[in-house]
Amino acid sequence: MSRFTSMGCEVVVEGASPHELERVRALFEERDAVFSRFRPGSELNRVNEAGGAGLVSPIFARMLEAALWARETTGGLVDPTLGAHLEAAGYDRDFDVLAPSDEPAGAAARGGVAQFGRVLALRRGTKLDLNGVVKAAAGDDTARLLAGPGFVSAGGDLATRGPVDVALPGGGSVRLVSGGLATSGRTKRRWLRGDEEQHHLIDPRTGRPSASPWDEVTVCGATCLAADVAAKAAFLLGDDGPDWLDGRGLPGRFVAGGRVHENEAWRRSVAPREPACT
Amino acid sequence: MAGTAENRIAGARRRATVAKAVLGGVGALAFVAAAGLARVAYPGHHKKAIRPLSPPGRFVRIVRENQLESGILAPAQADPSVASAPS
Repeated sequence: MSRFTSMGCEVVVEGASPHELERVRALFEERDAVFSRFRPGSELNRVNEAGGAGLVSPIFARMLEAALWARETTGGLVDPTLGAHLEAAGYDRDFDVLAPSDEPAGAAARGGVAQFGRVLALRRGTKLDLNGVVKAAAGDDTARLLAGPGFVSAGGDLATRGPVDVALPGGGSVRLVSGGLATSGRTKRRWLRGDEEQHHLIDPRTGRPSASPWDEVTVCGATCLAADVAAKAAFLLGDDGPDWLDGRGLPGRFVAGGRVHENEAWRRSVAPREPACT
Repeated sequence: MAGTAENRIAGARRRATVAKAVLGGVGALAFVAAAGLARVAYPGHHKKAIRPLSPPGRFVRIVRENQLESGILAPAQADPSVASAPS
């Protein structure tokens, strides 16, 4: 098992040959260079600073397309145009150097983006944040680089090729047979602004960190990207999250105050199978 | 005699002119009618406004929503080798 740090999180790779590991590392590094909010020269920062309409690189266009698909699929809950809101909440630098501040969190205007192939148009003041989509897609893309069984975990968002047993938030474990497993929550990236706790999951309906009752939501998807998008949406939906996932046949596991709640699809997935009649 | 012959020739010219006009008009009408019939009856010709071949928006929306598909989970069978956590 190999580990390295990229995109502000630990990446764990299992089952990769040395050559494959190099390709995995290179892909993460390339994506970080393009999409980091904290690298001054990143394409994301150039796009956000320039605003208006412009031509973007093919990988930028692909990730933005995925982010806009996520927005459409979740009815606008997982929105890539909340970068300014994240900064207003205080997350304006690398999380490792983020310090508590007495200054209260600010607000930001609603953003807007349109994409036409490699041309995108940003509404004035809009800042894109594609971090979640990019990290999950990097997990999927690098897992495909593995010739044999293995997995790639980017900060706990998992894409697998072959069965892997995974420890879960709040205790317990599950076997991920295929697809991806992702957890979204407020327990890691949180900070204080004016004595008020902030976190990175912005609710587009309020423009503020979500007041969801859940601490962490884990979802299994056909891909790491699908799992990540669904986990974020289920977190933001609060009490409606479990049913929203059930309506799409997605297994979800919710943790709040140390208590674990599994939706129907999750319970069915992990229920012990009775031996088939012969 | 000469005047009578000229009158007959002039009358013949008028009748010929009228006949040419009638024949031209009938020919033009026949052409337009044939073209109209061809437009309606020719098997390869569309008879209604062309509709794009792209699938209906509702169908596209359903397919895109279905991309949010589940993976496969099972009960754990060994000690976990990795953990899922918020990143």
